[in-house]
Amino acid sequence: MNLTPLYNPLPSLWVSFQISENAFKVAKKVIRQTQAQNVECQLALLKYQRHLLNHTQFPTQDNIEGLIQQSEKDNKDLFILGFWATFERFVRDYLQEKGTALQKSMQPPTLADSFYQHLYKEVEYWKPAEILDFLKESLFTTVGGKNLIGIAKQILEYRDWVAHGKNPRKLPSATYLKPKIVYETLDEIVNTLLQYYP
Amino acid sequence: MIEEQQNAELKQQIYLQRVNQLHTHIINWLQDEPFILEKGNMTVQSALGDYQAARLSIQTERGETLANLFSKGTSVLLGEGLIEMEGVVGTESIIYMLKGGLIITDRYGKNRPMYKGIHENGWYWIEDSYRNKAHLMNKTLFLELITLVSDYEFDSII
Repeated sequence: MNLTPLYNPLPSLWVSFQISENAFKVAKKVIRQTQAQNVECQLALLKYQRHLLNHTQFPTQDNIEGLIQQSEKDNKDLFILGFWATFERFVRDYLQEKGTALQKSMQPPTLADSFYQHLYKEVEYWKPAEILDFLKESLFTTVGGKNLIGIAKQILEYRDWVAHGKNPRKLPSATYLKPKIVYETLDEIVNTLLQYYP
Repeated sequence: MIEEQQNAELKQQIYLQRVNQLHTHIINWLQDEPFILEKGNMTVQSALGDYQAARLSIQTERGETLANLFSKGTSVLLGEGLIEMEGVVGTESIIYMLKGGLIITDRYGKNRPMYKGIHENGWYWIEDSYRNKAHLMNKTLFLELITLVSDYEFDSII
């Protein structure tokens, strides 16, 4: 089993999210019709706009502003899924690495090796909500720690809701999540775990 | 279950009042600007069924929409209610938060509010580029948000 040193993977994903939001903003600015007083300037502006939009879907789509707006909403949801998936991968890697301490201290070594290999595989199947529960009972026992885990559970609920097609008959406890809050919550949990690493 | 439903309905009623209060403030803040403000209603979806809430549209004198304020209901993470402010170049969220906000224990074991600056109940904007900071809605901030979502430039921001 190859265990690589752990680091917080969330800040780089947050940068990607911000860049994608900026890209939507720039696209919306480009498709707006620019107005100039001077007719020649106006023609030059239109030509430049056509050049910018060349080889994109934009010139041929109706209601392009509405489509971009919808894409932005979908992008937010996909990034929230991405934040959760990245967080979950980190936590499983973290627990698998923590498990090596058991392997080192258990006797006899042959049992320790088999036990650890089984644990390593099983960690992949642990339910995310149950992992959050035992983190709450161990490293997040203060009121503030429990609050953090509580928010993470709401993020998980939302993640499940989006991943299963947003069933309108089975709404999560919060149907609107600001990506910044999602990022800052999961980032704080990851950084707390890293305080106890290696 | 009945109690849960009553609590949710009460939360909705309070939300609707808070939306109306913010709209009243906005109308006052923009009274000297050359804008047309249009009030309307919209449907909000919730687990207990749809309901009607106020909507506010801000337009220039030429009829260009600068921003629409859509009421999105009470189902928002860390908040009591949400208004989305949509303009041609961006969308910003305005969240109603209660004084103090949620207390968390951070990575250093220190208890602190998840977001700084929540000294009273009110509508707040959380800035994406700044860590852990919520801004209480006021005239200056609202004009900045109009610029952010529409690219509209004000002559002077007071």
